[in-house]
Amino acid sequence: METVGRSGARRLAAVVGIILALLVAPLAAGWLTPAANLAPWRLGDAALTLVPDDGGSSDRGSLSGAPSPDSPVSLPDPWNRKHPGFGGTGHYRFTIRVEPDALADRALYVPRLSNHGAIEINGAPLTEPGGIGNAAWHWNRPFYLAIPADNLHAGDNSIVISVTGLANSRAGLSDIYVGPRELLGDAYRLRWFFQVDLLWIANLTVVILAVPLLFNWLRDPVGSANYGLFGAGSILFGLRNFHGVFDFLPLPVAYWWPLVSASLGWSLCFIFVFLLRLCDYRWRAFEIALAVFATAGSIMLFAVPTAHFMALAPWLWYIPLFVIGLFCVGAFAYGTFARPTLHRVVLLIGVLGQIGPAVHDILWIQGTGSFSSVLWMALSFPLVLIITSVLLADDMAKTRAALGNMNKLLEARVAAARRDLEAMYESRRATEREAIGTQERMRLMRDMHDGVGTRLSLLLSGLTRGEIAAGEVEDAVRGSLEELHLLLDARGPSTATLADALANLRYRLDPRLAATGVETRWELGPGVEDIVLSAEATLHVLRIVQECITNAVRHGQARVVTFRIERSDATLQPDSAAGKNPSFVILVIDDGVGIDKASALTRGGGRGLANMRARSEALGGTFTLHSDATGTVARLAL
Amino acid sequence: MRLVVIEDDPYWQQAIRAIIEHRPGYRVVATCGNVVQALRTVQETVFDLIIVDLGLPDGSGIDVIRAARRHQPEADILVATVFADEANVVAAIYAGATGYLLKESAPDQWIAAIDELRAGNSPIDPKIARHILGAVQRGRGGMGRQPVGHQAQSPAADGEAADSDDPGLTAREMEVLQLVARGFTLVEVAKFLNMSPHTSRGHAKAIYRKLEVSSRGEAVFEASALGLI
Repeated sequence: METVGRSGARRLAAVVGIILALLVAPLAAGWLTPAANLAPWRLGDAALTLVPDDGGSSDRGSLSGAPSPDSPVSLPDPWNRKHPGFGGTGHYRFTIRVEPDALADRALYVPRLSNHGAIEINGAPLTEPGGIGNAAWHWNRPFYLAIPADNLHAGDNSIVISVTGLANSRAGLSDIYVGPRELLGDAYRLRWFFQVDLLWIANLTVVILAVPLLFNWLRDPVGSANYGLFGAGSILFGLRNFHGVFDFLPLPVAYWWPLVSASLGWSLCFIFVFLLRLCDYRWRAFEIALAVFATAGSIMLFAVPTAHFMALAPWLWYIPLFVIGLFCVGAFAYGTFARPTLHRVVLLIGVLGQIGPAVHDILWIQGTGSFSSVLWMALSFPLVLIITSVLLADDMAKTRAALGNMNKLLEARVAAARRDLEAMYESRRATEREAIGTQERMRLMRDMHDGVGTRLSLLLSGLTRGEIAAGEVEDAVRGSLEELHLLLDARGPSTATLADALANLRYRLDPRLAATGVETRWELGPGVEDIVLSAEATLHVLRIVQECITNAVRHGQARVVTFRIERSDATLQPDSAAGKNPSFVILVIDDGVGIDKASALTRGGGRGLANMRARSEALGGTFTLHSDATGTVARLAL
Repeated sequence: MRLVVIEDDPYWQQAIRAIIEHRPGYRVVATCGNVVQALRTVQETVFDLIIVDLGLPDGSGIDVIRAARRHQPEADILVATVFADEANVVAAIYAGATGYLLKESAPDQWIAAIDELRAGNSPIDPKIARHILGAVQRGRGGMGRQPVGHQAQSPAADGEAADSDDPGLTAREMEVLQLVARGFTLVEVAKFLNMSPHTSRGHAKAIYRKLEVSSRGEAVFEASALGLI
């Protein structure tokens, strides 16, 4: 949040403000409009006769057992407070005066009646489909009945509303209205909207909005623990608030009200912990104590005798909860002031807005508040949830934006790294190429110096001194050219392997040998075609082979010269150790007269042989020569 | 037989003339020392064989070979080089040369080479064979698998080259090339492939022709020249 720009914060504040305004405006409007118009039609006083349940009702409480005489009572009349422990029927009598011209325009509007009731006008029952007496259980809905003109007469009329309620079930009667149908009808519909429709909407909103929070938590149980707590509290709160719209009693009163009370406490405890943690208050002991309180309190709610539940529950449960809530909200407010973030501030506004409704509802439950009133907190709580959802969405949007930025940054870095790497590779390749080129040039120069250069300088010195005949010049020049050709045989764009180089040599010598009547044969053993030697080594091999041929033809008078390359290792593994050449031999076999019989004139005094041995040693190989009268076998093993 | 000699070095002009005119029936009808002169000559002069040096003062003998091929398709074209380096020789073959020869060769080798050419046989050696094989395989491999060095050609050339880059050598011709590349002589090749030496010698010229035909599109010639030289 600190990283968000001022404009982002302003936008978020604006969104929250708009939501608050949209939600609060209709509430305010609804609250203000009907009250004044309705006041003249309000019936605030009645004569009440309480008739306890028969049978086992006598042991319920001091007031039960016998009908009490008519006594004046002011409305609203919550039984929990005014007739504690009473269960049975209360007959509320009213007398209204109706003008003759208004007989056909009178209706009865009851904002709240619990648990159910029956109405008599001038002694005649007033019933209507879906009306007061049709269901066993109402406690949180208004009623409206048009009074037929036949039932009324000009002057004073008697109205009796008989409210039947179970003991300790929040039974009672709110103030009632008898007046013009249209006016009361409007008030009734507005009341219905706030008490029933809006409750549905609020509860559904709470549950639906909280589900994404829970999923958010499921995806990241540790990181999103806050939202998990809030989601759990909200869902519990939303679900338990549906009890306000039930038209039946799902459980006996002895269990139902404890359940309703306990669930509220639990949902609030979750939310309290959420608020603390949002301010980074992770008070482990406090959280555990809260859990203990919630558990013990819940057990007590169920353990308290039903007769005393309504009296004790506020003190055992609601008021401690409220105090704890105040403490947590206080801590939250403190944390927010100490380290304000936009989220905390916005949420604090929403939470502080809940204190009023909470006080109102506790007073309602305790009985001090108006029995007629709608319960507020169920309606106001969605505000907090909506705000939290907006904050969560804002969080997610920011996270996504941050991730996007991070991605862009990473991509840019990767691209930069790749460029660097490519540049590095390119420079390394260039360096390598250069190094290879330099090496090649140096080898070539050495080769040329040793071969052609030496020959040419010898030739030049001989020519200068006039010691060389024309024939010798030709030989020397031919020898120099031969050297150059040998260099080209050993290397070149399409000469990759040793076999390639030897093939070049063989092809170059073949026409010349053929012209002197010497036949060449070419034998490639299996697995030798992939042997690769360095250019330098290749040149050594070619020189050795050329020397052998020269010897065979010049000294041995051979007619057939055979070149043979073969693998010398027994097992022919075509892919033996990649990059490493297998050991192999090169044979030059001729059918000449053999070294011993070669004429003394043509023998070179063994210098050629010594050269070949030296070369093969330089290659790390061995050179052997077997010669007899039927021919010579020169063998170069590498 | 009428010969044209394209050679800028006066010594080699003389030497080649001397070798050729030594043989009865051979007559040099023109000698040129540069590309401009040579291009005019191949258009105006009728000849049976032209001997071309690739390194000319005002350009490459390759251009002369291509012009000669266009104007006198029946004439033989012999490239005379100091070193038979495969890149230049194969470029010359793509342009239409039917033979090549080392300048240093003895007079009887010159005569033998010319006679062979007239008999319909082209020379070949392992370096040339390997080079041709490499080019053909690159062509058959398609653009996707062309080696880096080959990518210098323009996209337009790619489109044309896709089909014409493959000279359409027969399986037998490929076998001949492969054996030669491994060092076997045409006589040995004939023995391996159960054909007469005469047939195996003829294959080389057929291959040359196909290479030349396959390079008729200017782009392909450029491509192969770029790839080869």
